[in-house]
Order: sequence, then structure tokens, then C-alpha cells
Amino acid sequence: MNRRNFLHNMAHLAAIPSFLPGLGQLELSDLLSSTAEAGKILVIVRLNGGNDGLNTLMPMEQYGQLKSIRPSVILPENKYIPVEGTSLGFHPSMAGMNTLLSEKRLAVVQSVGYTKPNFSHFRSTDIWMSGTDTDQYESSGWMARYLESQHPSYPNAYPNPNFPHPLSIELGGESSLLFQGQNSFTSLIYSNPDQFYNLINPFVNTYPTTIQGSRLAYLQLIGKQSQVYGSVVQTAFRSGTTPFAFAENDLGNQFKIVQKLISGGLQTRVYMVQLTGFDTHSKQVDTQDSTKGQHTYLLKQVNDAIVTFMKNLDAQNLGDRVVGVTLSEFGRTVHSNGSTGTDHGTVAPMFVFGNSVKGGVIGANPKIPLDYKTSDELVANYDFRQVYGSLLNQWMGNDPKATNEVLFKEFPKVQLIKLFNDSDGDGVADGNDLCPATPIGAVVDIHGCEVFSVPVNNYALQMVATTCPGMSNGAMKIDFVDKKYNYALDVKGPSNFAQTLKSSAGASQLLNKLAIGNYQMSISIEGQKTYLQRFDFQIAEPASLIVQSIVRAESNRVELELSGAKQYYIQLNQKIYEVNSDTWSAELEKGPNLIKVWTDQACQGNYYKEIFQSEQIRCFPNPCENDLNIYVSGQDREVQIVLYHLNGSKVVSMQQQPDLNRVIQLDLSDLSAGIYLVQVTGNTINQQAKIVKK
Amino acid sequence: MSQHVPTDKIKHPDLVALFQKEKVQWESIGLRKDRTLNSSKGLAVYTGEFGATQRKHLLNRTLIGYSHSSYTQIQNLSLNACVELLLTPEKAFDLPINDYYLDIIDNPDEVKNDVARGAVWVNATEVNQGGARWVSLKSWMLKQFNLQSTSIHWRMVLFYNNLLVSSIQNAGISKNAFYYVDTLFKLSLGNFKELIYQVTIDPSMLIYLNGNQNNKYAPDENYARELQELFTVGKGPNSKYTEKDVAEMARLLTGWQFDWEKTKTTEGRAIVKNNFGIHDTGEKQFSEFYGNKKISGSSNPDRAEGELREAIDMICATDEMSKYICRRIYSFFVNPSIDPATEDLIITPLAKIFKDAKFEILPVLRTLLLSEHFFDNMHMKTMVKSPLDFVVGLLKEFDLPLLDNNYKPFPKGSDGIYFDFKRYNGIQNAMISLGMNIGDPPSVSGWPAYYQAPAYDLFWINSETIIKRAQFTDALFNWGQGVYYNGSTKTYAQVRVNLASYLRQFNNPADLEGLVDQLVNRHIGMNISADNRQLIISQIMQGNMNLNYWSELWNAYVANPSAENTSTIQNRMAKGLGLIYQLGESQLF
Repeated sequence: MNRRNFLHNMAHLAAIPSFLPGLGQLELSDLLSSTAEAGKILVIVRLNGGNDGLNTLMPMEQYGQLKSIRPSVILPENKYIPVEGTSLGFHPSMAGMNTLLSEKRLAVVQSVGYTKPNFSHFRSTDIWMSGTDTDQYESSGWMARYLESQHPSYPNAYPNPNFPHPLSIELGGESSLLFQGQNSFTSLIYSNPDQFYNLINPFVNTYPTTIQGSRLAYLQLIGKQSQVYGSVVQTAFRSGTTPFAFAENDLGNQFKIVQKLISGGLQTRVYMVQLTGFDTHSKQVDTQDSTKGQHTYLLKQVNDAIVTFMKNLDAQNLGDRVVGVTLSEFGRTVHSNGSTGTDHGTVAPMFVFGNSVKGGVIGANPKIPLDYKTSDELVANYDFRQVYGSLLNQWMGNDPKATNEVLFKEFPKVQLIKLFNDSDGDGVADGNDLCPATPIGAVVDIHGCEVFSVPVNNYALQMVATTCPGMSNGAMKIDFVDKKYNYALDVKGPSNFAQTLKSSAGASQLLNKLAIGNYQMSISIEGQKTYLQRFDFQIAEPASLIVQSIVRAESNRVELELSGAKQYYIQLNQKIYEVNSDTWSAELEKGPNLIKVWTDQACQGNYYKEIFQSEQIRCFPNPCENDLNIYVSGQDREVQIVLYHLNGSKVVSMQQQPDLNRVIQLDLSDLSAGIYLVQVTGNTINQQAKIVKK
Repeated sequence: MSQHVPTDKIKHPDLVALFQKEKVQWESIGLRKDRTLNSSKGLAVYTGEFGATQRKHLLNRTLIGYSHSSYTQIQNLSLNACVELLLTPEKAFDLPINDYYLDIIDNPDEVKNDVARGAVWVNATEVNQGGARWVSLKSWMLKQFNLQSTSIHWRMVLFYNNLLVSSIQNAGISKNAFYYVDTLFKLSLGNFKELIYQVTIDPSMLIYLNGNQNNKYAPDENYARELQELFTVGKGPNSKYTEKDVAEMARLLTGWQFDWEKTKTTEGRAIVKNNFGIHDTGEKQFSEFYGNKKISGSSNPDRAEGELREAIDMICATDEMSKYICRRIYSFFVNPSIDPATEDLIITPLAKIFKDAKFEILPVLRTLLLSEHFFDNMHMKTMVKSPLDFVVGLLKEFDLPLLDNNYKPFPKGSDGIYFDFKRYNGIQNAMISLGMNIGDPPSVSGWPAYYQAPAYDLFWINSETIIKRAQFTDALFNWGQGVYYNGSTKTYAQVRVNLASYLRQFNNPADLEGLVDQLVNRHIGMNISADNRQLIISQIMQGNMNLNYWSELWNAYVANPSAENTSTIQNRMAKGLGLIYQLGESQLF
């Protein structure tokens, strides 16, 4: 499986246009598994620490030899419960499991492990959870890879109308590698109320009335509110029931929660419960009575919880929907040690339970070498991934090729689930299939009937107009690719905005008069009751109006560069222009030119610019002795002339009228020699020149 | 030629709107809208215990996510020496360069006209259509924050970026954006009066608040208003400037301009000058609040600068200006909310120090950071980390080299500077989705967390960002945080913590309980409940197993850091550290 390129946590890199469909982005495979409402559920029971498979299920034909190899932990021969039709004996705590086996509701896969076994708890747990070879280091779990392959857009577009519930739930407190995906955690963890990811537990810490206390209280509050699945899980939990009481112990309590969630209607398909304490190096059994002790206590919890769980499911008519499987990171040594215990071993049986299970014992009994040495290890008959793969294909309905990707290679399958006839190959047994001849590849519901679907790219949403705050000028255009349907668009938005549009034969629709805010649009198709496509979009404020002006002195023109809108209004002096391009140019008048630019949307702002196109002056002679002539171009009849010293002080100021030749003559004979600044201002002129008086 | 930049491409959560959606009942978190919690200690020099808690508090509030090396640097210094070290300016920085060259490769004209790869661009003509330089500038800023020495300098730049807000993305001309940051850097430990003068005629500010369009025919009041309302005297009850003051100030500021087109097309810094033809040369008459000050105009073009200097003097002469700045400093560094007692106890004397020092900021900072008020226990770990504090803190704590798809060192080839840029850029983008876009506060008022009562720093956290923070740390510890993706070559780069090698620096990591205590101390720095401590341990152990298994694993790793041992440690410790970062305590500083 090499999905990493595409599945990694790219969300932060992606450019997200504000009007991309959010919740509407679903793929075909998502729709397929949306039949999960009454779908199949897998419960994984993790026996943490390495379960002693031999004492759990004893090959009685080798009892004599085992008695001498594991004298301090083996139970008296007559205490094992004979398994009908085999030479096996169940641990006396497992009477209920033996009954399930006789009822063909339990499959026992013997001697499960892997080649080149690792004896470290940590490493072997990682191998079992990641689903890899002994020398392959993968930081994702096999179940998470399966779930991510089914839900490629998780967690960004979740929960959504098709998948309102968590993909998987872990109980027991620790988050397992099993559910760690390649870009997310695919499970919710039932754990501690102080954490962000807490669930079910209504407990609230109280904090002191201090600045710090208020911050911690706020973070706790938001942590709870951030639980997008919190209320839906809590609702299911509260409405779920357990007709038969579970034992008040660790595993019993966890199964009770699973039972309540399933019966309460939660559509989650995968659960994991766990029981710790199987690492029985010492005092695996009581020194006085080997039928008692730690291992007995643990197996009884397992047996009681599973039996009660099955009874409850049957009572609620849910038994056909649920299959469970036990697993442990390894088995234990064949020989016992000096502390009435056993050490880390290799293989152990796995138990698969449920009404849909093909019951029976699979595989030969473990064979203890006649010349057993303490360095000997039992060899695996089945790779644990054969069980995983078989469950994914036969129970979860996964495509076998996809299963090979999840497990990185193909493993021979074991028949764990009852076969049923399915003549149209849609995954629904003929007995339950209301539509027994759906075409190959069709998406079906739980009754095996084709589900109507339209690809999400059948719709093109285009924001055609933004709007200002307080106004409702936004517009969204919706185009339909497939013209053979009649569509109905139900749109909800801010301030109780609600509008319904009908598109017959896929005619394009325009939603207008939209205010700023987030909108949800549900598209339905006439005659297709089960079909609904949702889009979320946003109507935003327009960009600011930005104008740059450039004055071209040589041509006496102004050029404007405009951005922020499609249409602009430009006022130059008295004239108003409507402009539909992002550049504009016009000739300037002499004197002040007032430019104003605006758009249809007031919040984009206005642009003002004053450009003064001055007439010219020319001073001659320069340097001058007494008389200075100033030529003033243009038509101003009167101008103001001011003479400054270079130090800034004003020397003289006067009103003058140019003669017919547009010349003003000044007598400067009273001025001392030096450099002066002449400023000429008038209606159409504002010019300065430097002159030198001799 | 359009100055539009694609700011809409990155989704920036609206923290105020999201906060309102949470419908927080103030009583439920022990707060009331009408009540603040304030220390009764004053500005006297702190003489109490100066231990790890106090030192960390000092670093937390003056740096941006302090590094462990900053902590060891001050571990044995006296309080006085610590504060002096923190008030030492940074050395000059390396200027932003063309490290974005592969991002513009599809535009040959741009490549041809841009400065060479690796060359400084801050004086070059404008060539990038897509805003490559401002993206580069933001990443450059993140890099400066990350590489800061044990100095308050960059935090003060952040303070002023939040107080005297301009916008990098809207500056339009990238060198103008750079020089805005440069001005803040040069003056953030210096004289406030000079800073206000420089900011007023800063080209990016002239664009951001319309100064460039302010002329005598149609005065634009935008800058004149914010100068008073937000930058200097504020809106406190004693700040009694009038609408007429705004109008008069606008008149006074007419004509300050730079030539947009020329700045774009010529090398060097923008030339800002007063375009006297459109400057209002009349007299400006201010209100009683400003002592009925008259500022005379003149037809002398040189007079415009004098008018501006006089106006700033006039503003600074009010007591309210010094008080306002000291309030903002106090909220930013100590406690966002200020009650009347604190106003008397802290703000008034600080304002006097500020005024007496002729508006040098260092004496104010020195007094505050040495004070028993600052070190009051009730201020420790009481602010929610901003996305910047959160992300830069993680950046500084963990060595986060660029990795490829398989967690191997990313092959940078000869493009080292480009990929270093992308690394910061990718992290900066992640920060945007947490609600903070470096160099671009959401409005001229700054980030709401720094000014909006009564929520203040709570604004950083809502149902969306709290999960994103957890996802960010989970990504760093588990699957990797993507920072670069090239769709056409399918090249992917990420950052991720190698936890096994990270843990080597701790004292006896084989002792898991001791290790967890050290990690909690390092990453949280305050006590957590016994239940939470136990939960961290059981996350790492995946159940209540014998802690010796951890010791064996650690010893096996030290003897042989094989892929197996490294991976086994990663898979366990990621859960433990992930949980540490899901505790509310880890979000405080």
C-alpha cells in the first residue's frame, strides 16, 4: 500500500478556496459503506501481555508430556473441559466459550503467530498492530489503513450526513497503534476527562477562581465542545441497553459500553476493548491450587464478558451483525519457570466469535517436540494476518485486492465467516437480497438494492458576486452537468436564510441576494428519495478597491490601474465613466483634476485623487539685473506671484495680470543680489522657478 | 501590474466569530465580565526566590517560545543579569534573499528580472506577480523568531507589529513590507517618539491607512484617527481627543507620499516626501485635550516635517499617551486585564518613567520585568499560548529537519536555501490555520487576543483550533507534518520528531517515571494531577505493564540504535508526548 503520497497530512498546504464543497466531498466508496447503519461490526479483544495459549486450550493428547514440562502451572487433567469432537480441553474458566464452540458460534484458529518471532512486548505488539513482517517498521496500524482506504477524506470532511458516527472506538484508555493512520487517528478513545479527545465520561474538573484556573476551565470546556462526535456517542450510550448485566470488572465494563453503543444505534463499525495482565511470569496460578490465580481470573473475565455480550446481542436481535476476535502479542513458553509462571513465547490460539462465524476448530493442535528443550519454541501454523485478511474480506466486505494493500501483501485466507449464496455478487446474501440481480459494480444498500448516485463533480459552484457587510448582494451560480434530472436546491444560511430553487432538466440556477456568511446547500433529485448531496460555501466580502494612477506628462494623460471589481465608475472632473476593464486612461485638463473611483459595492471603498496639471512659466533673462520677465502659459487672467528667499522667508507677494503676450514684467531693482524662488499660482497654474539676481 | 495578492488562498479562521460560536458562560470558567483578577504587588524590585519557575516565567513572557539553551544560559544568572541580557538588542540580521526561486520558475520573465538566486531583494525592483517575496518575508520572520537569541528584541517587534499595525500582504511592494519590519526592528528597543514618526511616514503604512491618498482637497482621516485611537493615546476614559482633532490631524498629514510606480521600477528604498502641492498649509487648531495647541502651517515646503514633529510632541505631551502605551505593554507581557488598582499601582508610575525617559522604552521594560508584580505567582502560566508561541516553542524544542516520505533526510541537492525556505513556509502555513498569520494581524487593531476584553488570549482557542493544535503535535510525533508538496513531481517533504534521539538529552531515560517527570517539567513546567501523570505512563506502556520493559527497551536502543529499537520507542513515546500536549496545562505560558 503506497498511499502515503496522497494521504499525508496535506491539509495545511492545500489552497482552500472558500467555496469548495466541504461536507459534500464524498467518494463512491464512502457511499458504499454508508450502508453501515445496519452494517457489520467487528469487536477486537486485546489480551495485553501475551496469553498462555496452552493453558487456555490444552492439547490433552500431550497432557502427560506437558505435565512434566510445565509442572508448576498446568491444571489437573480432569479440570480441563473436553472439547467435543477434538482432543482439546478448555480451561475451566472458559465453559461459556466451549458452549459457543458447540453451538458453532466460535471459531478457534490454532497456533497463530508469525515467522522470526520477537519476544519484546513492545515490538511484538507493534508487529501485531501494524500488521507487518517481523523486520518491517511501520508507524501505522492495519485497521487504520483499512479505515483510511475506505474514508480517504477523513478527518477533514467528517462527521458528515453519510458518516455521522466515529469510524472506530477504543476503550480501556490507551490509544493503540492499531488505529493510528497515515494522516490521522482513526479512533476515538474513551479515556480521561482532562484530555481534548475525551468521550462519554461527563466528569468535569473544577478549577480555582484564579487567572490560571479560568484558562484551564476554558480549555477543558472547549476540549469537550470540540468533540464533534461527543454528543452523538453520548446519545447512543444513554439510549443503549443491556438486558443481561455484565460482571463489574475491567473487561465487563468495557463490553458493557460497547453493548450500549451498538444497541443505542451507533453506526461505528470497529471497536477495541482490552484487558491487561496476561504477562504471567510469576504466580500465573496459585501455588496451592492451579485452577485459581491470575490467569484463571483473567480468562474468566474474557469468558464472562463475551458470553454476556452474545446473550445481550441475541436478546436485541443484533447477534448477526457482530463478530469479535481476540488477539495477544504472543503466547508463552511451553515450560513453566521457577516462579509458577511462564515466559514470553510464540504462538497462541485466536478466538473468533459471533452468530455469523463458521464455528469449529481450525488447524492442528500444537505439537510439543518429544525431546523438548527450554530453548524450543512452537512454530506458527497460521500467520496472524491470515486472520486479519479473512475478516476484512469475509466480514467487513473489503475488496480482496484492497486487503492485500492494507496488509502489504497477499495471505492465504481461512474461512472464518459462514458462506452464503450471493448470486449477484453485491455482498448481500440471496436470502436477504431484495434485489437479487443488481448489475456488477453497482452501489447497493443493506437490502442489496442499487443506490442511486451521481458523481460530486456533476455540480459546478461558482461565486459570481461578493457582498458588503450589511448588504445582500452576493450571488452563487450552480451548473449541472447531467441534464436528465430535475434538481431541487435547498439552501440555508445566516440569519435564518432559507431558499429553495428548482432546476428542471439541469438548467443553471442563480442564488442571489446573499449576505455574508456560511451557507449549506443540499441538492436532491426528483424521484430519488435516498439521494442527497451537500455543499458548504461561503459568501465573502469583496476585495478592497485598489487604484494606482500614473500621470504621463508627455501626453498630458492619466492612466489608472484598477483592481478589486469587474466594473468601476470613474469620475474625472464633471464626467462619469463606466469601465469594465482593469486599465483606463484619459486626457487631463489644465488646473485641478479631481478623480474619483468607486464600484457597485460601497464597502470596497472610494478612491480619490487630485491631479494638478499646471501651465508652465519661463523666467527671462536669468540671471537678471533689474527687470524680470515671466512668461505664463495658458489663459489665467490673474495669477499670484510670490518671491521667496532661499531661506524660506517671503519677500514679496502680488496679484498680476499677464499682458497680451502672456508676459508679466517685475522690477527687482530693490532686491539685493542672490538666489530667489518665484512661485506662480493661479486657477490652472502652480509653478516655481529659481532665479538669480545680479 | 495589479497589486492584488492571493491572500484568499489560505484559509484564515475568524477567531472572534468562532469564539462567539462557543457560547461561553463566563461564570462556568470562573470569570465575570465585570471583574478582573489582579495582583496587589507593586513595581518594587522582586527579591523573592528566583528559581526555575521564575526564570521560565521570565523567558516565556519575553521570548517567543524559549529554547532549552536559553534556559541553561540564564540558569545561574542573577535576576538583574537576566533582565539586562534580555534587554540586549539582537545583532543585525541577514537580509531576506531570493530563496523562493523555484516557486516562480514557471514565469521566465519574472526569473529574468528578479535578483539572482540567493541574492538580497530588499532594494530590488518589484518583479513578482504572485507575491513570492512577501511569502518569503513571512518565512524569514518566522526564522528570525526561531533563531532569536536570549533577547526581548523580536518579541518587541511582535508587540509593535500588533500595536502599530501595517500589513505585509497589502503593502503591495515587497521592499516596503520589509522596511516596515526593519523600522520596527531598529526602533523597538529605542525611542517611541521616533518610532511613531517613522511609522507615520512608512510607505507600507501610507498604503495601509491611505496616507498616500491624503490631500488637502479631500483629506483622508484614516491614519489621523488610528494614530490617536490605536497607536498613541487610545480610547481610555481620559483620552478626550475630539472628532475635530482627527480632522485637523488629517489636514496636518496631507501630502506625505511616495511614488508608487517609481518605487516599483527603481532600485532602492521608497522615497517618502511631502508633496507640498497637496499639503494643507493652513493652521491646525487642536482641542483642549491637546492644550488647545495650534500648529501653524506655512507655504515653505520644508515645514511639513516640522508640523508632523510638532504634532507628535503634542501627542506625547499628554499623560494619556504614556499611560496607553504602558497599558499595552502590561497587557502584552503580564496580564491582559487591568483593574483600577493596577492602573494606580503599575500603569501610572510606569507612565511617569516612560515620560521622564523621554519615551525610551527600555526603562519601562526594565522596571516591569524586575518588579515583584511581574513575578507574582498569580501571573505564572496564565496566558494561552498564541499560535506563534505554540509553534515556535515546538520548533525550538525539537530539531525538525526536513524529511522525505520515508522519514529519511530530504534530498535538497543544490537547492538548500529553497528548501529551508519551504520548511519555514510550510510551518508558517500551518500556523495560519491555527489563527495567526505572521505580519498580518486581522485588522488595524491587531490580534483580538491582545486587546479585546474580556476574552483576550482565550480567543486563540476554539473547537476548531484546539483540535488543530492537537493534530499538529500528533503529526510531529506520529505521521509527520507535511510542509512541501510538488504535485507534478510527486515530491513530498515533512517534519517529524525523532523521539528516540530526542530523549537522549534527558537524565537517565531508562527510568520511565523520572523521564515522564522531566518531560512534563520541560513541556508543561507546572504540576499536573497524579491521574494525568499515570495516564501518560500507561499511554507509553500501553497498559499497566512492568516499567522494566521500558528500561530494557531504552538500554537496547542505547546499545544498538537500530531501526527496530528506534521505531519501538517512537511508537510508545509519541503517545506519551501527544497526551502531554492534549493537557490544558501545556497550552499556557
